[in-house]
Amino acid sequence: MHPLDWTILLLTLFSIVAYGVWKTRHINTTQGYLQGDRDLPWWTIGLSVMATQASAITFLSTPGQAYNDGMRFLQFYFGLPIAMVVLCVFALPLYYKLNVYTAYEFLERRFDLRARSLTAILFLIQRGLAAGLTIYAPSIVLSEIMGWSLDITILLMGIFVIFYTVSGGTKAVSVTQLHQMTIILIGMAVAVGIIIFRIPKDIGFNGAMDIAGQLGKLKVVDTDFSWNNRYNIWSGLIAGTFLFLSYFGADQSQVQRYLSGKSLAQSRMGLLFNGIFKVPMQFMILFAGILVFVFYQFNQPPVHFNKANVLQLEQSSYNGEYQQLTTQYDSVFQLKQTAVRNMLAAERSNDEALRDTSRAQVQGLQQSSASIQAKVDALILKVDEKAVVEDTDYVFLSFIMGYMPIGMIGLLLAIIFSAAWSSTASELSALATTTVVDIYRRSLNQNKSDRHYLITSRLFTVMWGALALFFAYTASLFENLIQAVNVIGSLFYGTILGIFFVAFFMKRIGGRAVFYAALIAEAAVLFMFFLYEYKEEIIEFLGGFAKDSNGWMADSYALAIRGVEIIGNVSYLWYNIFGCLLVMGIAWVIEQVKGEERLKEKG
Amino acid sequence: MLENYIPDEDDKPPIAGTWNRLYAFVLLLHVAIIAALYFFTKVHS
Repeated sequence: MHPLDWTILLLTLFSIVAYGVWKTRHINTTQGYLQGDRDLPWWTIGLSVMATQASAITFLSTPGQAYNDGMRFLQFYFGLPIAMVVLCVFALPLYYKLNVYTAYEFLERRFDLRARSLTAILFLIQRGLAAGLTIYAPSIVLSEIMGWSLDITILLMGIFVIFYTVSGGTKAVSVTQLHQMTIILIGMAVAVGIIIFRIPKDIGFNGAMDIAGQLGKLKVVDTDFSWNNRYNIWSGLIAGTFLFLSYFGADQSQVQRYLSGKSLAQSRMGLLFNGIFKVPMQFMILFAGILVFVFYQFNQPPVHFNKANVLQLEQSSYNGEYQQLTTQYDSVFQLKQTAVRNMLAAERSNDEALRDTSRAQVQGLQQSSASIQAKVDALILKVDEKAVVEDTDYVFLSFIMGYMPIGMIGLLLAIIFSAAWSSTASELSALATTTVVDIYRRSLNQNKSDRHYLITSRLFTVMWGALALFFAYTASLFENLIQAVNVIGSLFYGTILGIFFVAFFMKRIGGRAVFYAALIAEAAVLFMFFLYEYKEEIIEFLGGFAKDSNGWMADSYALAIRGVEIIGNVSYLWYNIFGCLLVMGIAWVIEQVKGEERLKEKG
Repeated sequence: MLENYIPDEDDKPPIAGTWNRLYAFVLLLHVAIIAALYFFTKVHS
């Protein structure tokens, strides 16, 4: 990297950390540390909420997802503005009225200690795992692209954020996020501008749009409903709303952000700000990926974006085969470039027949490229069977390193670090707050001094930071990083949301009913995920039994296989709805049974 | 619990006059964005 990039990167990061530490140097009460003295204006809350959600994975993985899969991922966020409004109407006034530190405190007042503790523990498991991934995911990508050791990148991602979160608590998190998010938004806008500038002059922006559209990359809204299609307008609006209700209403890493507001009005405005700007921001990030896709129609892309895998392959005995495949890939690229230009020329001259022929030719050549890439992936796996051949997460960073001007590389790396730190800081602060307020101070060690709880809060922040680093060091890479975070969230959010829904909307249901309902619902969601992950193995296993049986046994196995096929097809976004509805339904049934028992006892 | 909550009358939004109007604005804007994206999809496919 050029010295100017290093200067920009280090100056940006250290000035933000130093500012956060300096600004919160007088924090010396537990309330100040965990609630930030509740004095933040709405724009800080809004940017802080956005920064918490937008982790480094968002900026590394999302453009790569658009590069491969087009813009349909945007539909995932369609439920967010609806969730923001619902939370402003129902949850925020209640949290403010009860003056709670955490969302789970409310559950004890509504139900009992058991419901509060269970929900807090579900949150700690889910967020503790996700915090490790938030550090690990960008670390491994940075390590492989920059050639730095993974140990060092994980440490860099984790150590500074632990330092300033321990030092200034939730307020340090918010004030640093304000600047981090500003850098992120400006940096991404400049990056998009530069990518547009780098598209060949004879193609231009309109040509880029035509090419992306012709090749099916600009399909944002998909109105066809399917249970196993992760991203369509219905899963986004319905399941997405449930996911975001749970994430923003019951996940302490977000609740803590807006509870730091100066007033209820400031917190509401902060959430609505997020509701208005989130979809356009995600559009911009995905659009950057589309522009990179068009850029690589006219500039030779690498056959595989993960440099570390390629290096390993080049140093192996398969290098000869790899070089042959690279040569084939280059030839296909040259042909494809000509075909893309023909397609665009036909589009501009309204020659539909030629356009359709050229498009079919481009699509055929794309398939040839994909088949060569698959062969390279197979070679990578021959060299190292544990290697991860999915390279979506490397597309954008690889482009930045190869084609961005001096100075911008430093700025974009600062964006990735800022995003990683801002999310991790919120997570650590929320994990420490929930541990202290909902578990330690409530159930383990009551009636101690404020100083004791302040020191304990700092110690728990260090503990969760160390645990997150431990998870990051021991984690293995998921197929797609951003999806992995969302899958982990969806496994727990439905149940947590169900508990809150019962609390808000089912007044007659008590603590015992909701507690057992939550346990059953969580088990059911984990079972659904198990069926989703191991569907084929389970069907094969049951099929073996079905073959050897007859009569009603064979029918039972056939029915079980059909059930596995149906349930195992349900995409993870829907777990948020099922988990929530299961908690509500089971709690209602338990309450009815209890009511009848009571009547019998009386009778 | 909700029935016990009395809204703070001073808690007005800085724009739009009332919270309900502001919520309606956010939701209508979202509908407009989705409609624009639908149109964008149709134009480019």
